[in-house]
This record gives sequence, C-alpha cells and structure tokens, in this order.
Amino acid sequence: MARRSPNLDRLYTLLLFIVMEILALMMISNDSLFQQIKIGGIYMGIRGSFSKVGSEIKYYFNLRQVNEQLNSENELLLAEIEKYKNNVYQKDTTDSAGTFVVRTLTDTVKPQFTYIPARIVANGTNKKHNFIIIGKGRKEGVEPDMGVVSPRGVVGVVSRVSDNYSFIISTLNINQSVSAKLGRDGAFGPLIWDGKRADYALLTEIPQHIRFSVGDTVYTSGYSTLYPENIPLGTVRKSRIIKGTHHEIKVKLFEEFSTLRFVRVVVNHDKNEIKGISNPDESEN
Amino acid sequence: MNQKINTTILYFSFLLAQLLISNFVDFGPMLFIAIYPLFIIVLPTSFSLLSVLLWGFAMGFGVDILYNGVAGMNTAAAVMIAFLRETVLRMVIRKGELESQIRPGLLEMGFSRFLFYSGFMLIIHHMTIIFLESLSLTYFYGNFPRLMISFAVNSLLLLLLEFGIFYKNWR
Repeated sequence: MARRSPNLDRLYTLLLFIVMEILALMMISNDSLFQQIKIGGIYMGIRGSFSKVGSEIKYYFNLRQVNEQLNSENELLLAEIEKYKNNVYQKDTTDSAGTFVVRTLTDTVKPQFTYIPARIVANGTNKKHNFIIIGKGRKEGVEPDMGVVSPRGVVGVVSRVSDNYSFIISTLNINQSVSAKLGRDGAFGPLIWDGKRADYALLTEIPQHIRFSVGDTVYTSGYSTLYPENIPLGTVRKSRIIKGTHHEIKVKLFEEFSTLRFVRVVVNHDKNEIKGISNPDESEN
Repeated sequence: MNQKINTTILYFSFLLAQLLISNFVDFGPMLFIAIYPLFIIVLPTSFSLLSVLLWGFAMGFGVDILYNGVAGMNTAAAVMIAFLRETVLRMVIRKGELESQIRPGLLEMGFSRFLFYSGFMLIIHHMTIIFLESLSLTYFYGNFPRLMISFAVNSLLLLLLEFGIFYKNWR
C-alpha cells in the first residue's frame, strides 16, 4: 500500500489557502450582499444585545454635545422660518389687484424634499470604507440610493434596506463622493474623502482660474438627486494645483462623524422624473 | 479532545472581545484595533497547517460578518497569517520544539523570540488589510502612517494581552 506523500498534503493545504483567499476576495467584491445580511433579522438580533448598550452609554456621555447641536439647529430653523414668514406675508397678503387675501402655505407648493428622521445604531470612522447602520428601514419608507444628512452636513447614501434597518455608505468612504460647490454660486466638483482624517475631505476638479480664499464655505451643489442644494459642508483650508489644470482643495468638514447620533434620510419626490429625463430607457418604473 | 474544547472557548472569547472593541473604541482613520491575530498566533504547534487555516478562516469570517466594515477584509488577512504561520515560526523555533506540542506563547518562547514572531505575523496581517483596502500600491505613502500607528498600538496590546492572560507563572 502506497503511503501518501507529504508533498501531496502540502499541495492540498496550498490549494485550500488559495480557495479561501479567493473566497475572501469574492466576499469583498460582493459586499452589498453581505450588507443585506448584516441588517437582516438574525444579525441585528445578535448584534443588538451588546451594540445597543454600547451606543446608549456613548449617547449618555455625549448628551451635552447633542444638546448644543440641537440648540444650534433650532436657532437655524427659527431664523429660516422667520425669513419665510416675511416672504409669505409680503407676497400673499395682497394679490395683484392689491386686495387683502390670506393664503395658507400648504396649498401652494408640494415640497421637493421631505425628511425621515432616524437614529444611528452603528457607526465607525477607523476604516477606509466606513459604514453606518440606522434604525429606520423599508417600513418607514427608506429606499436604496437616498441621501442621508444631519444638521451639520452630509452623512452618506443608503445602500441596502431591510424592514427596520438601513445600511448607509458613509461620506467617510474612499469610494464615495458628494457633488459640492465653492460658495453659493461657485464652481462645482466632487468632494471626496482621502482616508486620512475624519474631519477633512478634498474638493477636486475645481478649474485653475477660479478664485477663492481660505475660509470660504463649501455647499452641496444640488446636481445629484441625493441631496438638496446649499447644505453647508465645510470651509476651505488649503489648496494645491494638480497637474497644472485644477485645484485640489482641502475642506474642513462641519460634520463630526464620531459624535453623530441623529440623521435624516432625504426623500426626493422628483427623483424618478429627473432620472427619466437623463436616461429615458429606465423611466418605466 | 481537551485541546479542541480549549480552542473553541478561546475562539469565542477572542471573537467577542474583538467585536466589543470594534464597537466601543474608535480613534479615527489612523488607527484600527485588531486583537484577534493573537488567537491564530498562539494556536498550538501540534495543529496541522490545514486546521490552522480553517481556524483562521473561521476567525476572520466571524469578525467580518458581525462587524460593519467591508466583508472579506479580515478573512483574507486571517487566512494569510494562518498560512504563513509555520514559515514564520520556523524562523524562531528551536530544534524539537515544533514536535513537542508547545503553544508558541510568551512563556514558552521567551520575550525576544515572541516579540519577533508576533510582530512579524502582525505586520503581515496589517499589510494585507491595508493593501486590500485601497487595492493598489499607489496610496502607500498615504497609508504608511496608518500601518505604522496601528502596528505599534496593536503589538503593544497583543503583548499586554499575552502577558496578562496567558503568561501564567509570572510571579
């Protein structure tokens, strides 16, 4: 009877090693499938047991910051309301003939964007590909490819949804970009994350002749269907010229991802219409 | 049989510890904390390469599936160090130790040999993760600080863990 050669064993293990590495690479390339598993029922059940306690404790210690955040947001919103109030009363109390009428806001326009408030269940900033899980899902109307914002800027894009949870690709992900512009009327380009610091991002593809100075605010451009226009994202810190053609601007983000707690999912009611114009073949649904 | 039960208990404790750490501790993009490589590093030398590979895969897969990063990254790194474990071990092992069923730990190998062995394994693990993250060598300079900071912190953590939990007769 022939004995098995030790080399054959070594060959088998080598083969197993190669198969396992290929499996791992396949997992990386099919990550969206695993995202679906991760927000599915069983996983969140296992995870919930210790992750929830952790986030509760973290939340408690950040209460002060959360309060300040809410306060400043309230003030912003009050100012906004005040502005619109003036507008409405000036325009709507008199009609074209000059007679006094009262109109309510609700019957005039349907808003393009509405928001679904949500709480963060899991978050991270220590990877090159960061993800966030939020506690709102399909039941509350969250769908894939919706934008997610917070009072201080843009958070990410919904990637996968289950009934009660959604998986969000964070802005702190080297594959993610946000369409941004310099100032309210300035040049626009993609804002990308370079994976170095959680509070800085790069605004690229700004043409060389565009003038700006340190401290200018960067806003969302509104050219994508994900986010409304003019959400402040951060301020310009320094810039350099790449290949002699365009600026690469380092932007200090307003968003603090490590203390982020509450976010809002952006529902764009005109999304299908906009998509329908840009590629008519897919406008059936 | 006893060894199998021990390894299974160790597996679950390392998995739980790693998941708790990844949930609670977050120092930003320059530092990721990985303590599960210690599990693969100190598997007994009597284990065949095949079973070390399987344990490595199980560890990486467990961490990947229960954690909200890109799935597969930790699996690839864990399988990589499991495969190269014997090669690295042969560099530091003394004659006969590989056959006498030792656990390659701090107590059995002594400080300097263990430091070299675990450091080598960790750097392989970290490099695999960091190269898979950007899938190229172009960002090497950008990633270098991340690699070095994580490596320094993790090897310190690993030594402390090994010393505190497994270095039994230190008194």
